Amino acid sequence: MEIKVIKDVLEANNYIACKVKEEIAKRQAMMINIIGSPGAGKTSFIVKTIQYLDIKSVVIEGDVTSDIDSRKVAEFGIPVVQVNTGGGCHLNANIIDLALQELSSSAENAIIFVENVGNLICPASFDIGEDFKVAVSSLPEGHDKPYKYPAVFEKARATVLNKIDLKRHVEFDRDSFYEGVKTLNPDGYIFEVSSLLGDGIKEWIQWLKQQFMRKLNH
Amino acid sequence: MLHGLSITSAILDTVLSELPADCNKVTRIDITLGDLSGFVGEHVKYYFELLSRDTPASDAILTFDYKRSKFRCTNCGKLYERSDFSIRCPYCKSMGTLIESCNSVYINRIEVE
Repeated sequence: MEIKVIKDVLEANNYIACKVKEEIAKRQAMMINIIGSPGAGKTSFIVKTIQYLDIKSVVIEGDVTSDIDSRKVAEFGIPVVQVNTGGGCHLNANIIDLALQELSSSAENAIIFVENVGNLICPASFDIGEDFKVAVSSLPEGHDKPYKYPAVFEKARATVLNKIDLKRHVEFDRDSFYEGVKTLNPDGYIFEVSSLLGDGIKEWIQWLKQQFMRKLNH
Repeated sequence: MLHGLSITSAILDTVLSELPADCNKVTRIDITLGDLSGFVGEHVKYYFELLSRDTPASDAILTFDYKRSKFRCTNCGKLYERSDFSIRCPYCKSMGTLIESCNSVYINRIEVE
């Protein structure tokens, strides 16, 4: 016997992601899913962003194991929840649902930064209820990342090219990187930053605040 | 390491949830994989074999229909599909613009006994 199904296999995850979205809207918050490879500088980028941002911010740190990143974030007095996937290579909507419960009122009228597990593949496939994704790539990783891992660059509303302070020390074909990102995502934004020195952070912050205000005014 | 495991687990859950009460064996599962989904059929098969043990789907044959994303070349204007190794236009080697993204994983149909 044949059964027609035609079902997205991520339906269960997407259902919870919708619930998370509703919860975030209720809290008048905005959630950003930050995706990048291990060592791209995601944690430093989040910390530097929050240091420059005059909007309440909280962080959900996702890692396979350890609390190294959440301790780093907490050093700056930023509310943070660490979640460990115990081997899983990405966060899913259920994990975020639980983390939001832990953050309770600190995640109201705020920007919630979710640092996904360091990985350019799986995190792109799982909606966690975010308002949008941000892809973080860095100069030492090379300009080929959009070509090798297209999904994340295609889905990200913004791509952040981090560690631009290293441009004299590494080979990086900027045009090729831009061409790859723009082919996959012609409407996406690209920001070049140094999370170490703060270069480019102001431009990124300005855009981020626009996204937040736009969401609140809708 | 676990890439593909969650999606395979979701495939199995979906199939078992669709199984009518009077059926006790799934013989075939037809799956559509988008080329930007990040998943490959061979990996799904491998995980499925592990996960489906002792379930009605343990002997099911998995088939995969790959959907390729479409681009329009910004130079020659032709439509083209993403090849396995490149997002460049195969006609003039220029870059294009993504106009149809295939990033989903769908179960199309299952066969049961």
